[in-house]
Amino acid sequence: MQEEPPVDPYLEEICAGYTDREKVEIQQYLTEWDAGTYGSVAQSILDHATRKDFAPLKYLRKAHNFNRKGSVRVPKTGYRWDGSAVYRKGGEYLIVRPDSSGVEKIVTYGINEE
Amino acid sequence: MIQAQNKLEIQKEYVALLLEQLTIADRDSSQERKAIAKQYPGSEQEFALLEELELLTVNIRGYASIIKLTGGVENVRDAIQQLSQLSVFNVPIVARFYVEQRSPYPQTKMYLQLLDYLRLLVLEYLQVQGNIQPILA
Repeated sequence: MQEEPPVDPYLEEICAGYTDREKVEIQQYLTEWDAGTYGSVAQSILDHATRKDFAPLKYLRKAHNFNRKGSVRVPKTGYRWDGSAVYRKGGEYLIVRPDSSGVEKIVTYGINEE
Repeated sequence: MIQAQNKLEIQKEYVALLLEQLTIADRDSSQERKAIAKQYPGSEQEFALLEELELLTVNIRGYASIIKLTGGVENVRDAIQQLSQLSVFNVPIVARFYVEQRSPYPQTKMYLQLLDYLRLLVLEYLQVQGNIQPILA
């Protein structure tokens, strides 16, 4: 019998209280993120959302809906010495980093004017 | 060895405590962000102060969060190397902000101090752990 993969406790915490449809939405958004120095993407999201006083899904939606078109990207092409880049637009920003396959993933999302 | 393990346990609890304090300090400093964003907006070549601060925050908090949960990170050597380079005062715009007399923002400066203290604590924790790990293996 095949063992089930262990459940990430942070994923369970993020999904707590949401409907099945919302849980699917959360899972979908999580694929856009990089875990960075955290143990998992879910742990990272939970920490960001708590720190910024957002419900996890609201935070994920805001990051997902950030419109990179028309934003300022620093650096314009490629990535900085530490492998990061930022998209900046209208008081919001998205810091990204490429994963091992070169796909750009979100490291964090922030709002300057709170 | 027992002494080192006891020290690790105490430091782990302290890391967890500092993480909570940092979250509060983060919220306390949020009222200063609008003005800081205007005064230190970054450019088309440079990250803004708040962007640098956010990146430092997630990098340091990530390691601290793992220690809080599991007591250790997967690759101690890499983590020590990265944390050694993450001094908040190694980032020019952050260092400039911290020493400039014309930038009052006391809550954000306090947040920076706390963040760098957490970094040093995590670094020390990993160094102690790195020293005792081969004996435990």
